[in-house]
Amino acid sequence: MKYKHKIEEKINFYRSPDKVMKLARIGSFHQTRLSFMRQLLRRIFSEKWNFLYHDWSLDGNGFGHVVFSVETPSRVYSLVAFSHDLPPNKRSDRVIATEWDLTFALVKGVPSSKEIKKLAKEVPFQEAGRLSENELVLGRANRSVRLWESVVEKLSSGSQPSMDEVKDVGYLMRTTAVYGSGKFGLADRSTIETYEEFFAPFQVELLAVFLLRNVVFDLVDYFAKIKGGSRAVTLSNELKKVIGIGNSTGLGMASFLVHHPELLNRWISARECAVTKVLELESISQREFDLFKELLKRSRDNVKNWKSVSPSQIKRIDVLGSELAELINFSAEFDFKISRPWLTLFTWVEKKFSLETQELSASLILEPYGKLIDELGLEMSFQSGNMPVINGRRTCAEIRLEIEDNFSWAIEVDYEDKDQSARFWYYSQTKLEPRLGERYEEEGSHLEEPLAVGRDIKYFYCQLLEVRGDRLLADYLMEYPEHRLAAKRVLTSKSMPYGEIRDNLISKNMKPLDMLRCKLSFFGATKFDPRSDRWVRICMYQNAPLAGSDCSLYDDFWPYPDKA
Amino acid sequence: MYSLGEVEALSKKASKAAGLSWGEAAEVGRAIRSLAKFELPSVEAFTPFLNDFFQRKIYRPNTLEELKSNGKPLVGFFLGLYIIDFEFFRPKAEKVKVLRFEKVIQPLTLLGVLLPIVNNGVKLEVFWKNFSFSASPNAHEQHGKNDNPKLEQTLSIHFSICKEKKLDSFINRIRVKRKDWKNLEELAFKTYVPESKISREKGAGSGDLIDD
Repeated sequence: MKYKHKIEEKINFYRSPDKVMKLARIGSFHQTRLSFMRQLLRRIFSEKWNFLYHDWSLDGNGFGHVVFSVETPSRVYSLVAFSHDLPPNKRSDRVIATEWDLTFALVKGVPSSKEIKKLAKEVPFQEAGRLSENELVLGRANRSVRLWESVVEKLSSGSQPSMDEVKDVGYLMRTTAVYGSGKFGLADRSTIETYEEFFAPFQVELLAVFLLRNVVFDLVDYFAKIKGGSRAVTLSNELKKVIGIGNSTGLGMASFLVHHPELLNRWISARECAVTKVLELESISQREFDLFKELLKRSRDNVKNWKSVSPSQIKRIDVLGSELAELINFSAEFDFKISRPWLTLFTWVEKKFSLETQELSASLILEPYGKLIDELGLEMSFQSGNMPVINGRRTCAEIRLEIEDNFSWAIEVDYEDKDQSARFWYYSQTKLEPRLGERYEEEGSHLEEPLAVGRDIKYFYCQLLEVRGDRLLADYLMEYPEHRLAAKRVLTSKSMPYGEIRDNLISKNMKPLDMLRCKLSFFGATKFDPRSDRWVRICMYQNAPLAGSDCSLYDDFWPYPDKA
Repeated sequence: MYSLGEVEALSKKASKAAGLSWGEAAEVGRAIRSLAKFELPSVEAFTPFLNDFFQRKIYRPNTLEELKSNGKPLVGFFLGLYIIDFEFFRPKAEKVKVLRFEKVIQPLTLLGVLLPIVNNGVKLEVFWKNFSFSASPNAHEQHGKNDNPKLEQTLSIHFSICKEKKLDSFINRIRVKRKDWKNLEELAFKTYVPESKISREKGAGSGDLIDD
């Protein structure tokens, strides 16, 4: 298929939307060098951003606030974090929690003491607080009790925790929500995207998490010092590097991909464009192939540290480990001097291996080609406000044909079958977040949110069959306004080929987890650990360089640590 | 003060609850956001429309023919949809310089629906009695009173392509009267579903309170 691309003008994507946009495949995505964390860190270290504390006001028990700032070439931002005394029985990752170990906001500039006092009245209350345009991100985090207490204990007695123990959990604190884009009064995305450093998606939220990571290291040192006094030591940099920030993510994130087809299209088409560019390379160098093999070997080693409680994920990780071993053997014998070597190698992977291994391989072949593909990162944003429009002068017959051409995945499903319409998406009265209900077991399906894209397009299609083919769409939508949303999706589908998940999002077998993993992989998350089919734990920035470390030593391949 | 995102999201849900389709509700959200961005009355412009629609006091045309020929006053919002869906796509040869309409109810709702296309590189000019407004990606200005008359006798609209892409600076906060916000919240609430036992058992963090 052809798709007009800003950089490439026209590119024949190697993998079609029909192949890529299936839940099972997007639910197997891994981070790539286009992932948003990697884009952010490349910028931070190439522009040599400065990090410094402006305030460290914690009491003798470790509670109070700190202000950790970052100076970019054009602006200063500060993470204002509040450390709270949280009784163990109140520590919960659920969105219904009302207290946390740490709450934080990322603000513009360095806040005055008056501003900090104001933030102290709002930030700890999270959703119940009100923020202003000066605040860009709001979030909270809880300790990993097991690792936190163990690390504090060891450091306070003058020793370092073991590397195995630290790697096993991977984080000292995990965020349970990180809000941006105008929520609770925060600055809108339309404001944030005007700051060059935050134009790529989710840069501001991920900067907050990156700053948080360093604050957590300093907090754990502080708690150890409180406990151990002069005997205490600080956490070694070697250990800090393998500690990221954990995160629990639920359904709130899943609906994003459906509500923003324009963004989904940009993310996936950038990724697929990158894959295509690499597969089309006529020849490759020894250095490039060696780098691939090195990162492949590290990936195989790192799989051992990918722990999950989910039986199905454990199985997938096991399969991934053995398939990567097989790929290592294949690569060792592979003649990379043939024409289009990546295409040959990747075709072999596609024929032989699981989706998990295919998608990790897709990430790996991109790694040697920063110069070729990193600029695609600039195209992963969609300027807010640009409006998709309905050309109401198209006829109903034309729209029917368009649906037949582009939405066969939607119209071939029988939604009258209860299994195919078993679920419904709704907005929770309790937490004002998206949730998934069981249509035939729970109340509320009459208030369904418009996430059943496939079904709605099929209903639109069936309805179109009932009207005259030459009827104009604008006229039709006056009589049948309930199809307006579906009409817009159909009309924009040609310009956004990767904008739609081509699966039934209300079927009994649908796993929202796949949507979460897709989005989180674009963030750059690793160590996906599904806790049910509706929420997942992950790790962010594990193995990333520390804020303030020597920029000249920046290792762009940090997600693939050596000596796993 | 509210962010544009907050107002858009709440307006969309309130509009759905008022009886509009999800597609139309999304247009309301965008319209309110755009009105606010251009410093025009936003939530307050749509409150009477949503309340009237909820109470089934609003006439909505079923066909283009009905909209154009039955002589009834035209509701600004629906007229706006007709313009962006239909008039906006008129072939070049048939393009008219100025669109004129008579008897338009709540014309600011119409202007709100049209405003988002300014982001697509369009210059838009709208005139009614004692009021004119123009907007392009690089500038906007208004003259006269910007209230939202219940019924405007004559209204004119002009579109043109704007080649300059320098972005105008916009406001990004909305001051909303307490009663209008409450009205939106109450309407939006009607689209929310109480949490069920199943969702409590399966939601993020469930079954995993403590801890690793």
